[in-house]
Amino acid sequence: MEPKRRGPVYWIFATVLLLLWISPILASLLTSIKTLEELNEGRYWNLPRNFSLQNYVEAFTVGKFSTYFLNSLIITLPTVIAVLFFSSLNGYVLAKLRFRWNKKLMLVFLGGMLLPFQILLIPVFYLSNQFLHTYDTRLGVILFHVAFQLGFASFFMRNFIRTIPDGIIEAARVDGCSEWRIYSTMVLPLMRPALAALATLLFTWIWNDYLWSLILIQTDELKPITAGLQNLKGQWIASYHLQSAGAVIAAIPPVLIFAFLQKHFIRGLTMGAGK
Amino acid sequence: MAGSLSFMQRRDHKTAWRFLAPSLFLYSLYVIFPIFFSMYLSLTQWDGVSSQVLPLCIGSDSSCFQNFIDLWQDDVFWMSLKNNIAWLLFFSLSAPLGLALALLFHVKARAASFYKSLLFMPMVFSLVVVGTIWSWFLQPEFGLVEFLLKGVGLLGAGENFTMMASERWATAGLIAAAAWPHAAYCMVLYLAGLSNLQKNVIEAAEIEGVSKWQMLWFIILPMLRPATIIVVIVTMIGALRAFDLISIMTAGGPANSSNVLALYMYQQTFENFRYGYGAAISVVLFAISLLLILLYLKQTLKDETGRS
Repeated sequence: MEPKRRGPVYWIFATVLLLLWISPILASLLTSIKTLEELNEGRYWNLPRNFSLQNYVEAFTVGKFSTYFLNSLIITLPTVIAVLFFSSLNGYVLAKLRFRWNKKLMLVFLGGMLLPFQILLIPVFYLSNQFLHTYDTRLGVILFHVAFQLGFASFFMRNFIRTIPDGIIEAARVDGCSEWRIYSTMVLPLMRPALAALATLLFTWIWNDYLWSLILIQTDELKPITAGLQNLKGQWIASYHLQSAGAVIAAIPPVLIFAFLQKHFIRGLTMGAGK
Repeated sequence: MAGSLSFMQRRDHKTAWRFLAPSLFLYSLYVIFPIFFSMYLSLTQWDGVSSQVLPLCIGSDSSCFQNFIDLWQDDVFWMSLKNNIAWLLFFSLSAPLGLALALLFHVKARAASFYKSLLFMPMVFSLVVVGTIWSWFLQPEFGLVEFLLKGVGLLGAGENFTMMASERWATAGLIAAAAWPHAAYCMVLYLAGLSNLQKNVIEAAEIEGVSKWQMLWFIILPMLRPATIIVVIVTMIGALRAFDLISIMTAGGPANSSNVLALYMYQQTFENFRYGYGAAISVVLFAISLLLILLYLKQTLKDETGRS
């Protein structure tokens, strides 16, 4: 359907609606640059008297957000890379190889992505604690995330690789290329848009995870930023100036990804939804 | 050559297993095996420590399903289940909200894409961030909602906005907070659906002079069916998964009035150390989700055969 042009009445209405919609964001940004004194005076929703980044500095130092932020990166980046690698291999098999279990495997991957996490909580906790000895390490969280995200990611990759014509792959096979070479030198370069789209989604999901670090990490120094923000709430109960700064810091990386790679992000969401 | 594989197929099989092996190993270990292990644990009274975990009915005269019998008599379980149903019903309102936003912002203007980006924004926030923001948004005394309500005179000077402390309304506040990012997500899916609609059908209808509502109800909505199916499934799964936001904003309170199965399972397991009981709750949650999962798989298979 073609988008329409609209008049000024529409734009006034749309602008008011938009401002209401993002008012929670504006409110946090506003609170995050106010001083505690100003909040204590009851000036919660007025414009700040002066602009100060003191709350951010405090969140990073006193609130240990520098540690949490780094942990989030240490957990997120390797997870994204590993999922991209393994899921593209799986996608290649599911899309291009004559493999008997293709359809069944796809259903297993697809079904897994909709599981309620609670059915996995105790066994994953037990496994990490008793067998793999990855409890209370960042590696433990990474391994789980990689495994769980493989479901959606493999299905996503398969759908994309299916759009690559069989002809070029058959031709390479006739020339005696190994499947690994076909995958790595022909298919992978063609998959750049899908990899980019999936990477933006995965980054956001892993970065935003709270539950699994809650279950699998105990030591404060190893926790990611979502758990750190929750700690900040617990320790400084009424310090809304710090909490809002913390919330903004935790939101910045996904927002940046979204702002600069929006096209990939949206395409990922709509492609993943099976279109 | 009935029953045996051709040379090419055998070669493909070998490669397939080699490519899939690491993923299958991880996936079985962390996703497949745990489902069955949880089912097994739901028949036990494991405390999380002892190395021997036997089903309840072995070596004693209690029923293997004792945990489920206890659940049946557990008021908090029923309260949580009721709240999950409320989530399923009211969280789903983010779908029409997302559709309304998509229709409203499907316009031609340079500013439109900027507006849309801002509308999408909540979608990329962690629910911990959403929960933090909404917690003081809905605070009594100094929350923005109270400030606004007092501003338009809906709330008197001496009154406070106490939604989140009310047993009756806390869940509504949680669902509203959760619907904020989720409606943005639905909006993305619907916008993609809208731009794929066939132009000529819409134009033909316009020439016929159908009203706006007729256009929406009889032409646009039916054509958006694929988007709607996905929206409904992710929304329902989202409602059953609700955990982060509740744990952060109310921790299930006041007096368990806003608890849900996912959070109650966590509390029983990791706060009360009743692993068997927690596993039983997770099995109930799994059984409910399984209906949705099977529906989704059926739909996907149908799409697949329809396409190829």
